[in-house]
Amino acid sequence: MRQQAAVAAKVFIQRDYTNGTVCQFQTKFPSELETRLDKQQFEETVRTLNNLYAEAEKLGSQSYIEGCLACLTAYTVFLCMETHYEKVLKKITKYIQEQNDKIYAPRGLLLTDPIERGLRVIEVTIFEDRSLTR
Amino acid sequence: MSNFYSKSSTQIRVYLRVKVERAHQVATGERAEGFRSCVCDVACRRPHAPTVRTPTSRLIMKKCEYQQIDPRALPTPTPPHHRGDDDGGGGGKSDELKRPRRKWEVFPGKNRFYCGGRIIVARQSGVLPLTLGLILVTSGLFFMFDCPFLVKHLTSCIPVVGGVLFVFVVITLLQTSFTDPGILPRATPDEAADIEKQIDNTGNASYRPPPRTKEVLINQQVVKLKYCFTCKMFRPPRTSHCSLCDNCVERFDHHCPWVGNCVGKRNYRFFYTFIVSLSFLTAFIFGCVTTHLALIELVICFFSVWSILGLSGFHTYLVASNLTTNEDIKGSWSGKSGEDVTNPYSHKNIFINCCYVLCGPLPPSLIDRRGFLPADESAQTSGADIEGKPQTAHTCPDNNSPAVNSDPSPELSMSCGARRAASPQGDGSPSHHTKTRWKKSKRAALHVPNPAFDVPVSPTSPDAASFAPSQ
Repeated sequence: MRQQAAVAAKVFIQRDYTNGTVCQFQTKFPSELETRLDKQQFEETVRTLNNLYAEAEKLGSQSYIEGCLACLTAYTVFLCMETHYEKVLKKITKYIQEQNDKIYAPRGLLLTDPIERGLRVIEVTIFEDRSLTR
Repeated sequence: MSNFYSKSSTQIRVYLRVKVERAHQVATGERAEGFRSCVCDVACRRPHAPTVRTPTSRLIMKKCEYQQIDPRALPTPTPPHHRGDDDGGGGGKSDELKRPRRKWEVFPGKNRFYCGGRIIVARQSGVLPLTLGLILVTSGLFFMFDCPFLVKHLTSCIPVVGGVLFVFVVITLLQTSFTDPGILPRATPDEAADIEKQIDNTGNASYRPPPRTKEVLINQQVVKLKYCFTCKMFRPPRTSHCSLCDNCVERFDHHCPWVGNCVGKRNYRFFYTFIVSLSFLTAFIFGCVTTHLALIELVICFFSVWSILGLSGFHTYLVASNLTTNEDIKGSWSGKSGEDVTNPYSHKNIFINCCYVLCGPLPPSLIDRRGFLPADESAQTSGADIEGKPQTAHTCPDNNSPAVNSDPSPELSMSCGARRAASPQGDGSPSHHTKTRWKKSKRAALHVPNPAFDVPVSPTSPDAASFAPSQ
């Protein structure tokens, strides 16, 4: 059903670099979504995503232990072990799927996982209204 | 197109008939031996080289020189637009379209992929074979000749230590060379259109195109983000476009010809470990060899030790201050312009900087090499790939600039961008396509077809930062 719906527009939420190179997205509410979505809902989604990315890139004891162990083994552990970052990315994918199912799909919107866009943007696809009336 | 081939088959027939006649004339003594190698003075007006040189005709001429060949018996010469297999691409093409393609097969940058996309290297391997060769030869000589002597007279720890260092060096070298340095995938057409729209909406009505930079405030420091005309996006901070690899690389350090790859966010720690362990290894071998005085090893190690130790020292300074070679060369945070600038990315503590750069979290590759293309894109790109790829071989003028700092002027880059955009319409000559495709068919199947192979890309200028060993 979703594939047959026509794409009306695409909105791109760009990265926010005020804290450096860490992966954060702008929480500014795009005007194109005003008719479809609640501002609070949108900001909540983006803030949660930002927190998850911050957790992935956090300099904590776990990442240091992982890094030191990798260094001692000439980084060969990366071939067999999943890094902390990858684990959090999987969590993010699950969260986005959840959000799509609960909030965005009923409103004719679709969030694309930023990892599929090279962590550059959050792509929000707006589908045409008529495909939703059932 | 049919005229082209009927003309060529006629010429082949004439060529062969003339050859046979002349051979007969030589045999009967009518004609002296040593006639001109080109016998097409009948078929064409030019005094020397044969006219049509399709790969098929060349093969046939070589194999069956003194036989009259019926052109109808020849295998159908492949039109230039098909993939460069000489035995007809008609059936093969439909199979190509059906097979799901992986993303590495249509990767736009100048990279080569092996093992089904698991290994990525720059298109030009630089002097990686030389680096490997030097390391292997020197270490091999050390283990074969010096170790027995030293084990007998000193201790058996020596080959153990040497072995550990050697293994470290080789593994980290291969990891540096074969890992994605942090390549940013290019923007999708929708994204690019959105950004272009935003840029044009600034309302600049003047004749010159508006400057494509964006300023952001990072930790109270103003940082300019530049628009990349090739990748169609504003580059994140610390990202630079490598002209040799034609990719934007995150936290771009430099393009190292010794490892044949860019050094960026994802492989900087491998590179650092490589040069540090290599400096230990060369110092160790040098120390051992002075006791035994083996000349080759002594010479190689002597020159290597100074350059590699120097490089390790330089990179230790960079790691401690969380800088990249690119930023250091450009003097981005050294306050040269008189302003009060500090590095906004530094944690202001040497220990934390070191931990962050070397032991921080390692992000995964963003280019998803082994992912499958969506079915509709796969069909589109296979067509575009076959027809469009040769034309995108034009290297932009900015591509020949040193890899450390590739910063095209807007005008040049816009013309380049326009050229790239116009290329799929197809205005290249058939002979160029044929030549490119024929060369491609000779290479190993796993290479990403890279038409720019024929275009000479000058190695980087003698810029100290472009080469790993400093002068």
